[in-house]
Amino acid sequence: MNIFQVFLESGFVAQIIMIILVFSSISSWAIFFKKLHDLKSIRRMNQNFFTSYQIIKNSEEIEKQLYLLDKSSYGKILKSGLEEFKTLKTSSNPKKVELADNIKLAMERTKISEIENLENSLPVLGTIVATAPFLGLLGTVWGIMEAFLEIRARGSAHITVVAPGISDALITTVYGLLVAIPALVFNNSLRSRIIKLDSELDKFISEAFANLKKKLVESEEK
Amino acid sequence: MNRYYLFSLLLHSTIFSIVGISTRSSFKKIPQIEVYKVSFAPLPQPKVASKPLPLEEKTKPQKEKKRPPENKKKEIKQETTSKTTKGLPDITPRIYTGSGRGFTYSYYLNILLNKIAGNWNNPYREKDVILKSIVYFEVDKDGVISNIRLEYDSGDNLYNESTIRAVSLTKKLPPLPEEFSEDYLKVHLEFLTGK
Repeated sequence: MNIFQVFLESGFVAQIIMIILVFSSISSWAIFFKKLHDLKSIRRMNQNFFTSYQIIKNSEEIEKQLYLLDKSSYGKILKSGLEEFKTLKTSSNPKKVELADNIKLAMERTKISEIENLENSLPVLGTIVATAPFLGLLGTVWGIMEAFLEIRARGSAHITVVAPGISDALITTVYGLLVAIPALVFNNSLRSRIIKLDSELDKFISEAFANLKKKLVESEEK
Repeated sequence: MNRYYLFSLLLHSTIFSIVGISTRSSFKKIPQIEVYKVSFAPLPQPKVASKPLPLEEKTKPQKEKKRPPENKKKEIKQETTSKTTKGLPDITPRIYTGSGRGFTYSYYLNILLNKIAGNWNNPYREKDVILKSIVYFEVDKDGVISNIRLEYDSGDNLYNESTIRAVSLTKKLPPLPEEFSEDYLKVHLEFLTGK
């Protein structure tokens, strides 16, 4: 007899709970692998972009290498900033420098959409973390209730009467925790990576904005 | 996303297979005990039941428990008849009076069996198991049941408990028939369950 037979011999409610928990577990692991892959590829692209950016900070030269901009989060942010910069530069408005904040706003908008893309599916992971232990607990309570009903029906508290209900109860709890614990680790790990990327993007926005604003002032003075 | 789900599914299948194989020996199968009929089956009437027994037997009640081997066939016959009839009453339990004289008041036996059957929660009802236990008890003139003990072990504690409990819960029966001159009635009641 193994864990599968224990599942087959469990009560209907316990079986339903275990099936839901297994599907939740599969989903949480799939989300984790996908997000991990996404974050790793973004990180690699960002590193490539950042290396080029450190060498050529001149906006004209960067514009020549636009193919780099669409591949990384930094590039997308810079691209939106550059577009706003070009609009301001070519406009006939005499108060161009005062409108320089538009460049920062454009870059922040792009950053927010990038972060939102990365945070997509994380609420599912959060829901699994929160509900899996409760589902396990529901199975526990149900199993114990069945055990007591058996005791009442048979008029005996013998171990053979009580054992099946208690075993159902314990198995669902184990399943619930086995699903919730890795999901919690994945959720925290992914969130901390996204928060780190968010702060790095913020730093980059400040730096790029300062650079573009300087260029705007210089072009104004000319 | 689909390939990640597929990968996750494969990972889960692998983990479940490993856990399933490694836990094969750690889970012991819970024995499925099933019984599918409940009935009181009587013990055979001893040949001497109608004749008064010698007084010595009163002091040596153990001898009463001995069953003559020739009665075994009778017992089987009675059991087979009980298989064909459902439930109660099969009112010929092995009953001895205090002095060893036969007890012939069938209406009283009917009451006795019905009352005890009403209090019996057979744990193996409708399950495929054949079990037998014999409970010994005494009924005094007022109908109070005393001196309950298990005389024949069925081998299953749950079943034994249920039979003793059935007699214990009954506590009191109607007073013994006035015509019955003895002080108490000794009852060896067989609880048989099975097809």
